[in-house]
Amino acid sequence: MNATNDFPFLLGLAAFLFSIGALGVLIRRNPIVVFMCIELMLNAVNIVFVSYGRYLNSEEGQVFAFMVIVVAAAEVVVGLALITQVFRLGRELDVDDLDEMSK
Amino acid sequence: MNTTTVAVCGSLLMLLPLAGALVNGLAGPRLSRNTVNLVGTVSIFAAFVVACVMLTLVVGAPASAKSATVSLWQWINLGHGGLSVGVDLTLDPLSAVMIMVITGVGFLIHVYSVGYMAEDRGIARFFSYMNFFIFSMLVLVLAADLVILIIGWALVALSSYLLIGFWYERPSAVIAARKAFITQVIGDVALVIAAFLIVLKVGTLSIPGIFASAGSFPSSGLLVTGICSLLAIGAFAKSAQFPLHTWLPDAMEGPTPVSALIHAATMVTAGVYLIARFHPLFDRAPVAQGMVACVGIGTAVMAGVIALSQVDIKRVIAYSTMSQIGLMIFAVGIGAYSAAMYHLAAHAVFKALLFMAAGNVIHALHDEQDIRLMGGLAARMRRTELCFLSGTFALAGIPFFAGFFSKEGLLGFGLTNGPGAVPWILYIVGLVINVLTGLYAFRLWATVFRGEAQTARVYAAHEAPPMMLGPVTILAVLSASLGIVLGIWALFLHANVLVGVFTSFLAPVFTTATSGPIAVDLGTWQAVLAGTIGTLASLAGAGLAARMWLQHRPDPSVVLERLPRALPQLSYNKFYFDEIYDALLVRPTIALARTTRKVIEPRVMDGWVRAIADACSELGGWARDYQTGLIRDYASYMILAAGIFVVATIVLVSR
Repeated sequence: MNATNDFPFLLGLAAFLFSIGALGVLIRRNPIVVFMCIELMLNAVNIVFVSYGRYLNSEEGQVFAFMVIVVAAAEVVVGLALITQVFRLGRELDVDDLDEMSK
Repeated sequence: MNTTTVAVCGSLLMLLPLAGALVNGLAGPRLSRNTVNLVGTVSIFAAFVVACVMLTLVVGAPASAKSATVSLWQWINLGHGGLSVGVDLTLDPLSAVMIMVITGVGFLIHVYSVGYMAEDRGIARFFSYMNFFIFSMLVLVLAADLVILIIGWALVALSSYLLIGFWYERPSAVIAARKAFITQVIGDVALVIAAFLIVLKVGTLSIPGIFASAGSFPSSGLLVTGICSLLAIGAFAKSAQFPLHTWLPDAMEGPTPVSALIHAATMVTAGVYLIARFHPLFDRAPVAQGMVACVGIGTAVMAGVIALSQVDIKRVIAYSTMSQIGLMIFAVGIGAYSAAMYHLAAHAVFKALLFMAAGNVIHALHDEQDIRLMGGLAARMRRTELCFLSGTFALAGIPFFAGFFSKEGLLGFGLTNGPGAVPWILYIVGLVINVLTGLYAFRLWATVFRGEAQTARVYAAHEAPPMMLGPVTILAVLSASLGIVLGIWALFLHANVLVGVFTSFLAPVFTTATSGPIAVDLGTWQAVLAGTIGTLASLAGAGLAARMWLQHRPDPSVVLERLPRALPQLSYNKFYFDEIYDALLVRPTIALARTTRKVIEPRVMDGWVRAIADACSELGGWARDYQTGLIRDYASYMILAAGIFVVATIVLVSR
């Protein structure tokens, strides 16, 4: 495959995935699904990094992608722990219900 | 002189009282009363012994090497050509006289305090402060660097503050302590500004260094006049001279030994010492010298008049101190440095004596200080009366007592120096001071010890314990014989009987003085005549006082009524200085402070602070509306902002 030719398609794919993720974060109410949508956004960004790396003949894009994967893993650990704790408190898993910050 | 010996003696001299102060100050409450007394007095006695050793060092040194400056350590060094301040000591005849007065009279007063403060619970605190005062005063007189001198200068003010306010349960003592401290700080500020000016000109603060470059000041120049005037203001504040004199009478709120030590013998004479020490500068500033002389003699007359009508035994002595120091300040103003230092030493002896004898009286009458309620104490306190009389004789300048030699020498010097009619005017004012001194000195003696007892308390009076009587007796003998002893000594050495020994002893310090002869030639018949007339004036004052107060009932108001109406009122009310200062300085300051608190504080100061707080609170309220707590809202803000950023970037890049 030619790196120059499929570059716009890869960007378009990334934009499509990012939009799905963003929409999911805005619309869905289940925190686990929101999380998955965030992962989707992160992976969209990863695709952008990797494709730019290929397009510019530079390894930095891949290095950045690895960084994002590591950070995303860490974030999932924290996030899932939070969700588990909320569940243990016996509360409904609904992000619209978790609005104590405004009170 | 061997510099190592001087350094060791000087350090020891200062460390002994400091050690006493630390022991009594830190461990005082755990020590027994006897230990506290012992530590307090023995430390000063040891310092006195060291001071005697130092005096013999000075006396034994050859005439060309009477002065030694040693550096203990370097304190501040700002590099080559920059300012450097060292902890340096100077031992010369001038500082030798001062340390002898401080430790000698100081030791006797410490012994007296053991008796006087026997009932007081704060004895450890008292001795700690007293020892600390001796330490500070020694720092002041031994300093060979202006910075160190100023440190000593401020430390004596601190100890004076602590001791005036020693009985801190009395509001009047606390107010008096504060007044004394604030007034002296005015002098401290003047002194510091003078130090700045000196650094600006000669680049050093070491006192020998300043004097070495004294020649770089043009004679009568503006700068040297300014420096000397500022030094003089410092001296006036410390020595209670007009217009900074109002703190001294109030300082009598402190215990009587404190009045004897600080407010009669040592600290208040530090101003005289300062001007004498800085004579190479003062000799180049005739205007400042004239100002010093006028203030001195003016204060001497004013305080003498006030002393005539006061009714508090300690305040009468305080005003007489002010008057006598006025004479000394006048003497240094006209260049009679040796005469001034002689009067300083003699005054330290007889004024400490008067205060301590007065302390005996106050003690015997259970803290009664009003002389209108005394009278007739001679019958019950024979020895105290004799001692008091010895001090009175010396104060009034009755022939062959200590004060006679110093005071007549001083007047004689005034007569032989100065332009035109000035010496004659000064001489006549001096005669007036002599009459006044005789009057108030003998008035005090007559009203307290003679006549009829005015209250029943007098009949219950008892003679002071030996611990108090001993030091008083020693000083009484000294005040009666000091002049004669020095006079006989002078007879062997010189032809000049009056101030002879002192002048020759101090001569190495004052040789650089440029204002004419330093030694007074009293061999001439004019000087003898002047001295005789001066003595007659003193005797006339004494006789008048005896006639007025000895034979009549000792009621000052009777005499007040005989004088013109305005004068006694002015005298009794101390020339209204307290009222004038109250109206001119204190009230406007309080009014200003009150206005500031009522107007500027809430409107201006709090105004902008509150405005900022209100703005923050407003902003927060506005921002709070967007904090819904819904993740969806936050995510939309983020995506919205990112979208705006992307659009803006595209627009900017495509342009």
